[in-house]
Amino acid sequence: MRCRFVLLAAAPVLASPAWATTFMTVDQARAALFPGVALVRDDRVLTDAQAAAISARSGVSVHSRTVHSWRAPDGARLIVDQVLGKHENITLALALDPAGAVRALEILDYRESYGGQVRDPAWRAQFTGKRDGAPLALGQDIRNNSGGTLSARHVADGVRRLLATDRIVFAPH
Amino acid sequence: MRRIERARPLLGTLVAVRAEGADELERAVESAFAAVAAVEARLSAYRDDSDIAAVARLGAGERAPVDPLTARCLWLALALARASDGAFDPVVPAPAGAPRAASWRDLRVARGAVAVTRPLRLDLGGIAKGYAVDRAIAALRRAGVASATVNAGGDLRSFGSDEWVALAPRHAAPPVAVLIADGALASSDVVAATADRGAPQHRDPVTGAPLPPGFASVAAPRCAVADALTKVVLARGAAAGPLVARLRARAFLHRPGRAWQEIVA
Repeated sequence: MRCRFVLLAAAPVLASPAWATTFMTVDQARAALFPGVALVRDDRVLTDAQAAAISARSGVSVHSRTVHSWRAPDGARLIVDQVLGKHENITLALALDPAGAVRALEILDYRESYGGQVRDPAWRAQFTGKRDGAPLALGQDIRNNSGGTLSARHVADGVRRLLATDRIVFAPH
Repeated sequence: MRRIERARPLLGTLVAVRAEGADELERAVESAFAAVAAVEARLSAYRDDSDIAAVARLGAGERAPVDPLTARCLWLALALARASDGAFDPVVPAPAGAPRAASWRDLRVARGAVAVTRPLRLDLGGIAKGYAVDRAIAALRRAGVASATVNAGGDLRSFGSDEWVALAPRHAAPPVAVLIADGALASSDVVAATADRGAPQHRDPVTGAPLPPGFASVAAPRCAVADALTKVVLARGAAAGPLVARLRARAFLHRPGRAWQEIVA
């Protein structure tokens, strides 16, 4: 094991504005979750009544009226959606089997602030530190952060909301 | 060489797996997630069918067989409890002021079974995440990838690559980063953990009183050890130095309004 502890100097310029990681593109998720299956795009726009019913059924409020979805020939479905947490914005891909049960869940991308600090440009700017004469940039050189546990509660809420969306918009199975 | 990175919600957080290698990367990453899910299933405090729930149902003098995964994690937890004289304790402490309740001294792990000398509840929240990261890293090594990093919500371990990690206390602190190579890094924040789930491992194991606000990061060869040592450092401060050194770890502590401090022997 090697380990170095580096105090980063405060810097006057603004670092890259967001801490973001892309794990998969939508196309990669389609290929990984439905290998060899010809998916048909099946987007919907929720009516007021549908949005209200989804909120009531899942206990999670509906932010966006657009549902990005693909249908497989056997009735299975892929839904791509965003969840907004207190400190994070996560895009997830949910694969449902023909009966509407969860087959797989992948995180597509992830943008965060943590401890409320990343939203503060002054704090982010501090990460434009120097390492061996080269800048050490948040999100590029520094790809990880370690702090208070990040909760996946918002992801769980998002999945519950999408399961309700599936029942109300695309069902009956 | 290809490189992929995937993330899934596991262990109550997001677990990200990065792997680089010639081929079969998807299968390697899948085996890492499966290793994490196996630990979660056996060690979750929230599932009635977990080994942790089975131990909670034991009466004084009773024993229960547990999965080898559970036995290994508990064995390590007990070793760290003994080494830290209870500053790390996998047994849920009594509330402040309560009469002496169960502690790690009431727990035995032998021959694939757990025995208790009085009823107790386990909380492996202070070690299970690190243990799951270690199991995932082992799976990636077995799968033959060239380099990999597993990051479970800030508790991470990597091999074959350098990782820079920004330390992020909930309270204001001078910005720091840690470079870790072929090792693990874990952090605990008293305020953040208490806000999230009441965090019994952030109570003083002897008095049961809540720990003062503080943030600790520990680098160690194994993530389970790093994870558990963060609690020892938060509870004992500079007095944790000899144990940190003995376990070939390095520890960094920040308390609100103070400077960063490395805990050394």
